[in-house]
Amino acid sequence: MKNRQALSSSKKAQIKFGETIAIVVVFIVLVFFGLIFFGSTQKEGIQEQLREKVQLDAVSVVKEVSNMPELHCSIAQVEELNCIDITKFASFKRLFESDIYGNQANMSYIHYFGDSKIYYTQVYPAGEPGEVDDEGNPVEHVLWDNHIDENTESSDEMQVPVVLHNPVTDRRAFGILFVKVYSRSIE
Amino acid sequence: MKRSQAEIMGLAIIVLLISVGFIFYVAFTVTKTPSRVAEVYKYDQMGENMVNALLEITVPDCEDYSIEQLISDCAMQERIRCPASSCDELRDVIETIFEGTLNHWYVSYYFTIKKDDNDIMTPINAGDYNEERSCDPENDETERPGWLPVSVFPYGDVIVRLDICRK
Repeated sequence: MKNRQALSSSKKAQIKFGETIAIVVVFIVLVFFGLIFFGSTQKEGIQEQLREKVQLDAVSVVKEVSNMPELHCSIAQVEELNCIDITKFASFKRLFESDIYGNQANMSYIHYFGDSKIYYTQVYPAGEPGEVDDEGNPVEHVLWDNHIDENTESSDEMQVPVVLHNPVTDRRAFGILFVKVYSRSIE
Repeated sequence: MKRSQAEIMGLAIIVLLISVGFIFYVAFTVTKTPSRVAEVYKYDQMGENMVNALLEITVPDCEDYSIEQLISDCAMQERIRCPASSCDELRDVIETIFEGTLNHWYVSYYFTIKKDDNDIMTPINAGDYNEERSCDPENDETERPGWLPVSVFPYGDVIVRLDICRK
């Protein structure tokens, strides 16, 4: 009789123990899946923040370039809005390519332009010599192209309509200023 | 037996609560709209930048008269001959520019040049090139318009306006 009672108590204890283990296992499985899901949504959130930062950087570079006295047209020292002096642009570009001052210029302006590509194309007059390539595509006049890491991808290109002023001929063409910012993607 | 049932019920409630919490979290995350900072900035400034740049450019085929000068002439006596009239040359140049920019970017727009609320040039609508991009500034949602007055003193003012529709 006593042995039977002891056996029954032991079985009950085992069942109880099994129940507890089952609850713990279920809980751990739920937490495990929860962590996986939470991790993936956090990754999405971080990627979205990175995309937003790249976009903000692109807007920042556009505003920077649009307001640079190194590129602005000016008449009697009065700067004009939305206007690029193409002779200044060419000089500025040569500065980055210079053997003597190139390194210093790159180090100075990287704080403004960062990892980006800045260039313009002429829209009107269309087809002028030097403004289209052999296939009829607009020529890109590149000021800055700092795509140093092949593992980066670019943001959407920002486009700003600008006047391209040639102070020698005093002609004003219509062009588009492009800014593309590169960023590293999270995989 | 009743105690076991109560325990199982408790477990089921916990699982239910966690599932409901999951669903709310997923719903919140999925419905969050992605950031459109660059796009908003681009379209907000587009009208103004286009009009500002457009008025300043010179037309080589028309003795390097500026667009602003052609607009003034078109609104007044139409004396400039390129050999086309200033109004015709104006429309050609503007259409060429829009072809290489706004049409190329699939932007929905409506461009007008008016003097005293009368069109001096037939309005240019993106819908003329692609029906889906037709823009009606009075009925569609629009971005900030670009507009500039051109003085034709003493005949009044001409308003150059570019509306960008959100489509």
